[in-house]
Amino acid sequence: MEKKLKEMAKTSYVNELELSETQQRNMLKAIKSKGDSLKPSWKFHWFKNILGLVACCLVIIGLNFLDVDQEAVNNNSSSSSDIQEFNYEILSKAKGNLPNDMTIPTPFFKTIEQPYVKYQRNGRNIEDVSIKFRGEKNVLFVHISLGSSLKDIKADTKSKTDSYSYEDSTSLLLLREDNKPGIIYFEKGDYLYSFSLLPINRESNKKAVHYAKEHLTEIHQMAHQVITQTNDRS
Amino acid sequence: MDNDFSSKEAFLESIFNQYNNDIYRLCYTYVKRKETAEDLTQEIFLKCYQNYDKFQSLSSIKTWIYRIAINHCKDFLKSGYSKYIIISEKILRFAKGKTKTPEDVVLKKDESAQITDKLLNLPIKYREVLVFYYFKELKIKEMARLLEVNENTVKSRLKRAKELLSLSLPNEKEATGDGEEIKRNGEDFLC
Repeated sequence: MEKKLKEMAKTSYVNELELSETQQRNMLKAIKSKGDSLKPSWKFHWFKNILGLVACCLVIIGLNFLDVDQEAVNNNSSSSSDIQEFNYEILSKAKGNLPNDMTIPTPFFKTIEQPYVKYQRNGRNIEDVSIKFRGEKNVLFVHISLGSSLKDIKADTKSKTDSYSYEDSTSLLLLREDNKPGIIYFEKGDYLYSFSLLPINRESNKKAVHYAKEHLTEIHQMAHQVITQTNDRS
Repeated sequence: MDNDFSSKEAFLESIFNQYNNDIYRLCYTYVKRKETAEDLTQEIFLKCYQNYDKFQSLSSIKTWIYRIAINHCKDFLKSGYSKYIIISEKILRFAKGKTKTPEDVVLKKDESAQITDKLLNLPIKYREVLVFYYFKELKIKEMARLLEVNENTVKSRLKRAKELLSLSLPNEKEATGDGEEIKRNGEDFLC
């Protein structure tokens, strides 16, 4: 076998394989032209790395400047509704981001969970804040918005089938039969606060409306408690 | 070979003139297609040309070029393109059936060609040790460095390669491994 292999190595057709003169010439020409056109070597790579680094820094600075919500970016969402969805934060965390003149309701009926806050930013201003307090049997939704007033609400609902159950200069309680069970509105400073209380296991809006009617006084008291409390950011 | 070159172009011309057919044949033993071997040869020398700066510190051009060639051929064989070609050829062969091509009919292959064919059908790790040992006449030490394995691995692959080759050849009763001694350049080992 050894002999055969040595013999084969000398006489094999593989040894006869050769590139013709023309092939060699063309190949050499092609290598030179390709090699020269690609030219990159270390200098280009070094330059490219620096450029990449500078571009990354610029993007980060730009994002900070525009105050783009990182979570929304990470989740690859583009619509405004998606951005709102991703702005949920634990109340204690969100407090630092919220305006100083905004009264932040503290959980006032035995809250089991730390409430989550949903807020929407417009540039550097926070315009809408939603807080969900989850109790043992009930859930209280508090919505705070900048720039709205009781007048707007009244004007908006006058033509509809809403009924006012309570009204004074600073507050208004609406009972809606259509899609929202019952909301109490309060105005304080530049903000309009709305409260709605729902049972945790609500089966239908009708049932929720009925529940809201039954707890009118309770809702009002709770809302009033929020309005009159002092800002507690601790 | 003189390792001092006046320019990158001079370096390319020098290594190309000296090794082009050598590399072409080496590529052929990996890919078994002339056209592909030509393309790979060109790409290998292009790599050498682009990595001229890295070469300066090395002492042996031959080892350096072979190393690039081996890696390039293996990368090619791992690539999707090479798999596509292999599958296409298999399908073609299947479609043709056992009909011999006119070339096959005219050329009655001699024993050397038959052994070469069988060698080229061995798995790559066995094929390459036979190619480097018999065709390129490299030492075990050089092969180990080139293939990035230790010398004992090269020896055992060489032994196994010969066993596989003898099994695939008709009328090859001769035991290859046991006790057969190979002596080359003063190095003895059992294979």
